[in-house]
Amino acid sequence: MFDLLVKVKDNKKISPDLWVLSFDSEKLAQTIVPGQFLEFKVRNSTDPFLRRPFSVYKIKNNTIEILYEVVGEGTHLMSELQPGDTFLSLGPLGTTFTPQKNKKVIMVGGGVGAAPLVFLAQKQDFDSMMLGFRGESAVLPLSEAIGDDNKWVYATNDGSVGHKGFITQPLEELFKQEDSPENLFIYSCGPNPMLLEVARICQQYGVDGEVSLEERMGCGVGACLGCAVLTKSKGYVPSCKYGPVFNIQDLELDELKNSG
Amino acid sequence: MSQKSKIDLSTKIGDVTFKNPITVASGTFGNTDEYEPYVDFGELGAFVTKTITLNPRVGNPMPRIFETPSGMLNAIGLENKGLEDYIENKLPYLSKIKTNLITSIAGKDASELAGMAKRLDSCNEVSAIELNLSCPNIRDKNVKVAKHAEEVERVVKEVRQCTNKLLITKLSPEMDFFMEVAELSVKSGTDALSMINTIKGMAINVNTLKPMLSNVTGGLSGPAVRPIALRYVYEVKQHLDIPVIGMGGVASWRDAMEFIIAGAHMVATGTSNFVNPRAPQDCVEGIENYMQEKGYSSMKDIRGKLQTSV
Ligand SMILES: Cc1cc2nc3c(=O)[nH]c(=O)nc-3n(C[C@H](O)[C@H](O)[C@H](O)COP(=O)(O)OP(=O)(O)OC[C@H]3O[C@@H](n4cnc5c(N)ncnc54)[C@H](O)[C@@H]3O)c2cc1C
Ligand SMILES: Cc1cc2nc3c(=O)[nH]c(=O)nc-3n(C[C@H](O)[C@H](O)[C@H](O)COP(=O)(O)O)c2cc1C
Ligand code: FES
Repeated sequence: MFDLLVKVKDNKKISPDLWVLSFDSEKLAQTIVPGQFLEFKVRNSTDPFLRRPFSVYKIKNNTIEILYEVVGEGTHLMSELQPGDTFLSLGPLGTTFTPQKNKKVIMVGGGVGAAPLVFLAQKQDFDSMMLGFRGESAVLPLSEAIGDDNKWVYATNDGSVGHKGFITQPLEELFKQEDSPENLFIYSCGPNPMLLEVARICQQYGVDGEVSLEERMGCGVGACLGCAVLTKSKGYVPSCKYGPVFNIQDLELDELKNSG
Repeated sequence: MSQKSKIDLSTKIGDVTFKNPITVASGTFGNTDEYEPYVDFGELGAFVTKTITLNPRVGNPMPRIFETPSGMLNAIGLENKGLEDYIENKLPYLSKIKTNLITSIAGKDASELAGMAKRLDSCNEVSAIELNLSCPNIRDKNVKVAKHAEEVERVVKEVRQCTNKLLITKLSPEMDFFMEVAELSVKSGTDALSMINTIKGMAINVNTLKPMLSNVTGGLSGPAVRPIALRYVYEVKQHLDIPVIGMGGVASWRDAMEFIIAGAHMVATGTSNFVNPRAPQDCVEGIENYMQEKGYSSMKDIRGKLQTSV
């Protein structure tokens, strides 16, 4: 785990609502694994004060790429970074997705929750990458796809791209058609309402899987206990340290409704 | 380098010598190795634990934190695994840290706290006990949140009888008649005061009409509270002859020096640790440089040397 001063290589819009920030770090490129995250401090300001957590989206040689959306002041400042600017990156932090060998892997993402799944897809074979977006402006361009882009299934709330509605609907269809759901494995990341629905249908069809949670974070290292998640096995645990990746069956789903 | 080594950053409170005046605020630095990858604990004046209670506490439901201008609200609710877990599972690690260990405790009443102090009194690794009588985020009866001077007096007196360790009492601006509380703590035998704990605040989500924290209110910390914290330290030092550990929004050596000039023996970094894990170590180095540049050779040369006359 390192607190590094890194230099922006590139920072560009790849769709109306999505940005990709890149920087070089051999140390991080060699150590970070899918699911883990970094805590950025892009400006030496007291407002915003806290760091912002981000997943890794892609690694190309020693270049780390971050996929992000501008939602508030912190990400707005991030979008203003120019090549050559420096910022602080703390990490790698948290846990990783467990690699699967013999299962049929389905990845389910919502919005920028696609980021850690795309990184995972660089290392893990998968059968389908199912991604849901708010609307056309937030859709991840297919030119960004890892592997065979026929495996990429899209849904948008307004039907402007792909299936009309939530991505969990085609997911449930897929479960219905599967003869042996116990052979499926889900990796999922996105807004809590989506994750809750993914967890619900996984439980209904007896499908195993892992989700990566986005909790508000104070420290990112397990020190403040601000990001607690209620698990069946260990009670409350800090999501930044025992997560952000959790097994679906270990989560107390009712509690998740309140957080995020 | 040889010049630097002449500067004595050490600070003595009671019988305990701290190698420098910088420590960390309870609840902001983890309970064991959370910050080990980033900071050399041995370079700090002391390591302060998250507050522990006799029995385990699960803490408050989520959401527990929310960022506000130049600070944050928290309502963690003193989540911890209890005193015996601390002694069994945390102390072995903490005993290896090459600096003083301050253990922060809270309890439901004077006798519970006294019992905890007695138990900790037998732990050689513990250099000091900090009584957290001021957590603003507690709604149950299992933790005493002292609001009045007499309550504080009762607790400090009973705990004092149960331990010879350095005893620190942590106060908050939420307490009524703050100066009276501070004075009675000193009269009841506390060796030092630490201040400030967080100040109650709140934030509302205008879309959902819900509070941003499940607890509705939470404690405000970070740079936003620094001027208030400094004022408390200053006023207490004007009235009472007692060592003070100052905290509230300290992020740099300059902030720390403000507290020292106002009279603090030690200064803790808190919320800033989340942003810069090296904050406490940076403060130590910055203070050393400052002392050298200004020609001060020991903390006594500068502590409490505020010049109020124009
Ligand atoms: C493990 C993890 C990985 C993440 N990965 C990505 C990613 O790859 N790409 C991406 O665009 N976003 C990601 N996020 C969400 C990202 O951290 C937030 O969008 C960002 O913190 C918003 O900051 P802001 O100041 O722009 O927004 P504001 O809404 O102004 O932020 C206010 C506060 O709430 C927190 N916050 C707001 N939204 C979120 C959120 N969704 N999750 C956690 N905290 C939040 C902020 O950190 C800040 O403290 C991730 C979050 C977590 C926990
Ligand atoms: C997340 C968080 C948890 C805290 N937990 C405790 C605690 O367990 N016991 C305690 O005495 N103070 C606790 N505090 C208060 C701090 O120790 C400190 O008094 C306060 O935050 C002011 O300092 P700061 O602005 O530098 O953070 C906590 C503060 C924060 C932000
Ligand atoms: S963010 Fe501080 S414990 Fe997880």
